[in-house]
Amino acid sequence: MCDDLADMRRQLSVQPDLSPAGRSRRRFLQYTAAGTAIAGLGLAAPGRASAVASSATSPVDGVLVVIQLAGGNDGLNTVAPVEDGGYHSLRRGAALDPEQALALGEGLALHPSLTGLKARYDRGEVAVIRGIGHADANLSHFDSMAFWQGGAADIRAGHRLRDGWLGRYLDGLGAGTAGVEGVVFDTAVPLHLVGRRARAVALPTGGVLTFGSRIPSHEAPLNDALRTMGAGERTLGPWADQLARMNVTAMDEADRLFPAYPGDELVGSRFEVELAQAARLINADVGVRVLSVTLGGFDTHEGLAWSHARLMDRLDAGIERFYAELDGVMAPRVALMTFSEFGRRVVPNGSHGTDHGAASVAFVIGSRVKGGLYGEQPSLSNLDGRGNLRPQVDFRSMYATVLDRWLRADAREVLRGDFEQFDLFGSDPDRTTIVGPAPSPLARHGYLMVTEAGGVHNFGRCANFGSPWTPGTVAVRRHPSGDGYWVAGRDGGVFSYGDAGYFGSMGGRSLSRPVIDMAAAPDGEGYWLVAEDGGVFSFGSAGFHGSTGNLSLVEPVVGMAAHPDGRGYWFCARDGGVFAYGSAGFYGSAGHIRLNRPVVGMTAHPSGRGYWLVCDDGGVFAFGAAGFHGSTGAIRLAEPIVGMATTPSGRGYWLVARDGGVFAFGDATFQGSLGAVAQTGDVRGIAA
Amino acid sequence: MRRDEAEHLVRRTGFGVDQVLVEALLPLGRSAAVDVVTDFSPNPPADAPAGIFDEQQTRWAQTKRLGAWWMERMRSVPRPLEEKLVLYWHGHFATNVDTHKYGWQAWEAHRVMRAGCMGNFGDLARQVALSSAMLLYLDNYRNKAGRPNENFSRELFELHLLGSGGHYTEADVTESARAWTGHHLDAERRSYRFQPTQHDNGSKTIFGVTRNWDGPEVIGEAVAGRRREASARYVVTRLWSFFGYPDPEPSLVEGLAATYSDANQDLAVLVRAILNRPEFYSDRARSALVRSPVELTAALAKGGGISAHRSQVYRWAAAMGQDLFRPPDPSGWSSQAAWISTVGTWVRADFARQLAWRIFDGRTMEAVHQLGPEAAVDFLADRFSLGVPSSQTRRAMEDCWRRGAQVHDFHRFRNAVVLTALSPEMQLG
Repeated sequence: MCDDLADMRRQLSVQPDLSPAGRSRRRFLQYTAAGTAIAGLGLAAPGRASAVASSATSPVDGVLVVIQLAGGNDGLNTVAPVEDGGYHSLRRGAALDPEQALALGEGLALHPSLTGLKARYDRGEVAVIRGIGHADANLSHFDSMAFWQGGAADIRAGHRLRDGWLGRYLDGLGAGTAGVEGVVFDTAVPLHLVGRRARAVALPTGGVLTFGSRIPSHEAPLNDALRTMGAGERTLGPWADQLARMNVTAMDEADRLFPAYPGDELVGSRFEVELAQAARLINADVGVRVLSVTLGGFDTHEGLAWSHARLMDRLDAGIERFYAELDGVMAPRVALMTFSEFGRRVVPNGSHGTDHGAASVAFVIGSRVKGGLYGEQPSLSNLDGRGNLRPQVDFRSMYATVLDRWLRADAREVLRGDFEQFDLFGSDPDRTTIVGPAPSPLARHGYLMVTEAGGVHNFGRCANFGSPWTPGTVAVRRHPSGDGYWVAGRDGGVFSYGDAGYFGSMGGRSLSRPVIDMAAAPDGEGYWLVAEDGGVFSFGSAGFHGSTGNLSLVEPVVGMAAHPDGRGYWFCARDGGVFAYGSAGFYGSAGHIRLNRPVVGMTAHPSGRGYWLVCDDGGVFAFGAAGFHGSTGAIRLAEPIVGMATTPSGRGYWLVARDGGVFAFGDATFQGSLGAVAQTGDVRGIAA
Repeated sequence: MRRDEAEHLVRRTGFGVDQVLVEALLPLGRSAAVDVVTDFSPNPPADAPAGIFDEQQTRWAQTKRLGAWWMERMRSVPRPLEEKLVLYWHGHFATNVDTHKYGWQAWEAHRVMRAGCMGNFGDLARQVALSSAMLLYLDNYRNKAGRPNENFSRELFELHLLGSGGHYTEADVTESARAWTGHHLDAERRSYRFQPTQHDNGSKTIFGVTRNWDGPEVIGEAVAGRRREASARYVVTRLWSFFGYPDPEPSLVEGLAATYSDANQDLAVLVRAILNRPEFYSDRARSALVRSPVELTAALAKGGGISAHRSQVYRWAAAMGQDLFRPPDPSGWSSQAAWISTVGTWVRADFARQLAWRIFDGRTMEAVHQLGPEAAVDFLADRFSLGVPSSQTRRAMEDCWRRGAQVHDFHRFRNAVVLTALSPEMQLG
């Protein structure tokens, strides 16, 4: 163990970088300082450095908000085994009332204050990791926190820690000291966000940034002077250069972060305010990948029932405040993760509080999280020698899962070891089907994709209002306002989001053939579902204009498109056949050609006087007013094309592949693809 | 004593550099100079700040008053080492007013540390342990026989006396918690009262000795008994890290620990020994420490000649992360790199702007407005005790002054104060 507390404290905040790597980096900086300025490294040559490039996250970049419950959260009263008689007898008066606790199933219940979290759990957006802890932990706050914040496989009590697990992750991103990839709301950077090279930045909550290039013009000489002061190297001990460079970093960061500080004062508890500010930083999309927020006061040695209820209130209010502030576009990119240095003693002490314990509970929260119970509830009849719950899950399993499957880092490298992982972020096998487009005023600049697992992903100017996360999803369709959409499943179920209303579904009804596609009524007040056999189900303002349900088709129907006047629609079959109904006219088909590859979908031209068919190799057939703007027919694709959507002008379209790859043609613009998020489920469709 | 040594000694034992004191030390040898800075008799008596016992006021209003009063002393007393030691002990024996019932309980703990900062360490630790502030902060006032509360017992070993170096076991913590049962407060939670019925009179095994231990005896045993060597190393390492540099060499620690132990844990002997060590004057020591927000704001207010009240240093230090009487956790405040952060820089700049206005408005630096760039930087370096500024700092400040010729005197001066406050020379302690 450490010889003195100063060591410990240093370990738990930033460290002087005395590693050989750190020294050589300083030399590197010194050499480059003589040449050109390096934006983003916290170092600038004399004179004004070039503008700091904004580095927005892409929709496939996971953002992680870490919530540290400092002091040791009483896991046993956060997620309580309320149906276990042992819980009530051991916890005595401090046990949660089973009538008030919020049941999660398996005999467990959430603390009654966590009502917001319970609603999220019911929506399938909260993973509860039970029995999380550390096998070798002692009961010191500082040693335990060092384990959790350090996070490496080879940590032993007393090792000197120079970096934390998210700091090493930031190192791997190539994050510079002036980057804002990692953020903490504090005056110091805690160990978990300190890397060998990178380090998270400490930011204020609310207010205005009176620093950087937005200060009044008469202060402009000050900025240049700070850059002069920050250049070069002094022979003045370990801190002088870091202090001087921090001034430059602080200027660059102020410029970059300005959009996240609109100038109003955020109101509420400190924790709420910090989470609201975290949401603003994510909304500003300046490249933040990891944020750390702390809720303190969990060292509940006395008055557990009262003080813990207050803390749970704050935790719940903070999470809800975060989501209230978070932009719907960014929400699917964010996961929240809680942690605490240890749980607490099962039997209360004489002050109705609980002393330091071992295993606790953690939450991972987000619209792309697969909710449910993970890990194992520690036994109350098999406590350790001090009367503590035995850990069932190493905390680094949670880290490894988040690193590999959410942040897309290399968990083995970051944690310096292998840990069992959870299947925490939605995924499922695939069956190719396609969907057509829905008109939208913003469609040139954004589109949605839905995966078979029911995950909705948004790109460009296109808001995300949530995902059903129901396996067997077949289509997503935008509401004409652009602010909402419907998602359909093969069982005929319909989920509506944003402006899109619910007008009924086939969910729970028995279907002879599965639903394979959906079309939205152009007035936004209804929709059609179409089944593989050509059966049509119409809802709301969408009228029935005929179906192939009574014909015996050689090949199944694979796609549907609505006429823009709402009084007709088309189907297409796998062999390229087209069926037109109501006001929708027939402009030709590929039914008479022998196709190399099957047709997988169709899209109507916005004028209603033509349509496109697309094959799984990306070949496109254009009919009527619909023009040909290119295809991937000649490119060898890694994964088949599954869907197509057109721009509002009809002068371009996107093709989407099963792995989420997007190909834009004509006036359609590329806004990002899902290529890297394969584990969230193969893509089923696209809507613009 | 050489001027640079005298300035270093004054800088480290105070807040900012008092040139009057430096001049007084120049004719003296090191040991005599140390005797001067460790003699607190020239300081005005530290009578209770006005209104501290006024229970009509909230705890926070009371501590704000106390904080402003204390920081004014840091800035102005002739022998500020007294204040610096109390600041050190406030971090060592951290307590937080949020857990108190009355604001004056923070003052009571403060007074105990002030009275004991040059006395016997065991006495100091015992008095702090029985202060209402500590009894409330670490819950010992509810530590009862039969159902002990370990909070105080654990932090006592890990933070106050021994450090987490394996000098005690989990069982020692549990047993010590039993020994501390019954050391409570009166019914109004105003002051210490021993409640015999709540005290566990059974035998306990602590440090391998089994008997009917009582809490305060555990401190004696740790400090001067079976753990005296470990405790000496711990106290020496922490105090040296505060005054000299972090991670002192083992030989240095052993030497000081021997002196301290031979003197029966007399802190005055240890403090003088630290300030007399050649290592204290080494190059390593000179630039090893980053000023904490309290140290930095007090030094800037001292340099600017603005009172703690008018400069609101108490509030600004809190905004930078060092809120007196509200340390973040039982281990007090972090040091060095913990104070180097983006938000810290922004707040320091805001504070410097505000301070510049006070100085300008108070006309305490009128002469500087007539000076050219080089002379102006000399003037500021002297007033704010920057020593010899590095070439980068000097060039930055001179350029800024030169370019400020077109703007109003105040804006030019304000930029210069911000640069001073943000210079590494100012931010190093």
